[in-house]
Amino acid sequence: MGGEKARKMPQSGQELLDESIASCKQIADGLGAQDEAWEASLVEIVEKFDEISGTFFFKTMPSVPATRGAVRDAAVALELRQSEDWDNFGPALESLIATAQNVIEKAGMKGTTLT
Amino acid sequence: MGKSQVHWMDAHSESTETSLVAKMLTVFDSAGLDKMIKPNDMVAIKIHCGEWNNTAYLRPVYARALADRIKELGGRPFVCDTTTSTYSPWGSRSSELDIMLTAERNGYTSATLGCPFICADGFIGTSDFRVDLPEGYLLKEAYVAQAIAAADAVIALTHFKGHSMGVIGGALKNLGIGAQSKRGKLNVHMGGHPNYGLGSAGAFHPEKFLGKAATPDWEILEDCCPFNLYHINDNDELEWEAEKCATCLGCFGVMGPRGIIDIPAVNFDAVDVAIADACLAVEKIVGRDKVGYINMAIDVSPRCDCANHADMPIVPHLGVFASMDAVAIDMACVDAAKRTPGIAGSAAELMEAHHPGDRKFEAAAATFHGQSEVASINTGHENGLGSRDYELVDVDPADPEKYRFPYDRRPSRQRFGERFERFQPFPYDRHDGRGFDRNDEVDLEAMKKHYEPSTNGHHAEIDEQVLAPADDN
Repeated sequence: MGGEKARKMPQSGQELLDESIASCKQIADGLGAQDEAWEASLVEIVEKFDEISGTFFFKTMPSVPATRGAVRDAAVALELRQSEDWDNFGPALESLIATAQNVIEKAGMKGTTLT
Repeated sequence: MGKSQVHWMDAHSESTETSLVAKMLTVFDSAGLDKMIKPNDMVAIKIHCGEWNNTAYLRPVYARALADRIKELGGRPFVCDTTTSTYSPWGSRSSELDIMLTAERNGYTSATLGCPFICADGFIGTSDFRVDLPEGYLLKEAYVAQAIAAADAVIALTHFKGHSMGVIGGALKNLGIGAQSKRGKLNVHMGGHPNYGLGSAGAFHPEKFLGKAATPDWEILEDCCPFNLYHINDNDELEWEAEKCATCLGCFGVMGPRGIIDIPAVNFDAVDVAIADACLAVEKIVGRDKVGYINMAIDVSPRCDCANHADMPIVPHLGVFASMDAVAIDMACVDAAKRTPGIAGSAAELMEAHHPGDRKFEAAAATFHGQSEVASINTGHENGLGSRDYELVDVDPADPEKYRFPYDRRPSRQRFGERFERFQPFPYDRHDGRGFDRNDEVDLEAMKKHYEPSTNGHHAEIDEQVLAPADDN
């Protein structure tokens, strides 16, 4: 029974957080030459993510959507940074900051219910 | 163990005999659950009455219809639920008094059910019967709610859905948790267990408590534990008597988010296994051929009915299932959910587990990454409770006559002819026999216009018309 092939289990919230931290570090590396404020924002994201890394929320499934959003936004920003598309990089970074803020707030577990 | 039969009808409904109530009764008979009921049998219908403000639990009409059917068979039905563990500081079903009030608000009363609604494990939840379980995979004893243990037959009438701890909330959990007393629930939840209990497996981080002054709601840190095991000492430090922890779960939502206790995933895995052992205990004490299962796989919410809310369903209604095998019926429901596309906008889609073949409960219902939606099922297969191998029997609708309004089966003229003559609802004597004052003709098509375009092609012509500027006048 149940012969259908199951899709691969999604990554855990912690794995996704680690991935987004790595991407943010990659984006930030040397970015100050282009814009110091951009680099500072990314360094702050990395610091905050490091702070909340390993906490209970990232062991739970409800952390997956939020952290997946951070991974995706970081990937977009990284691609733009690598292609030096600075016109689009600014808005992409703003999006990443908003997503990161969401992750940080969610890590406080607001609205998450355990039974 | 060979294949078990699971009788099934889909959730489509377009007639009397295909209403979900009728289908529930049809599969009840088809799966042979009716054969369990002997004259004067006291029959427990075990339901989940729903937590305060939950809205996904089963409508009481299903239990009512089942109780009526059991009475037809000569049985004496009663509908029951049990007190819960104190899994939340503000739970609504932790004592008999509370659960009766919650059940009543949710529509479960003797008046609506046509039979008594009772709390099966007493006022606090210590009215139970101990069952030895040498064949248990993890549990070696269980504490079954007294009213269920004392019943001649049990029907587990289950709302099949997700569960943050059990991953699925199906037949196994309805009895493996729901038919256990409060004491039994502490057993299943691994209270005091040397490896899987919160006291042993949960890592305590008292340094995360920053003192009363920095914690405006510090009182809840002590008040969340009904066993009084958390204390803030004279040095403004948080202490926990972990060795006495009963794993009632009351502190999970308080300590977990603050990082004070790492809630251990292994506790959840162990509970999922223990559920099937505890379900076996119910069958052992009531009788292996005296426990039947109905799964209503409708409103398949990701969270259990024990949550004080209900998220939108993750899959469409899957249908109505009945079996004498708790393992097989839950496996059939899990398989149905797996092969069915998830609902757009639901937690299944949010978790990107909405495709046919995705394990939707593991993604959308589980608390921890790595929990399994088949752990209870596999344990039930292993401990001899049932079989995860099943034959799905597609059941045809029964005669609609069986499901008509039972109190007066005469057609309308026989019932109302004379009464309408005396109490005429249509005023034939007004407006030249037309009865009421109304316009003779209006532009009905004008009221059918859409003011936004559709994407599916319906009424495309009208859409174009209404989008013309002149139509805005």
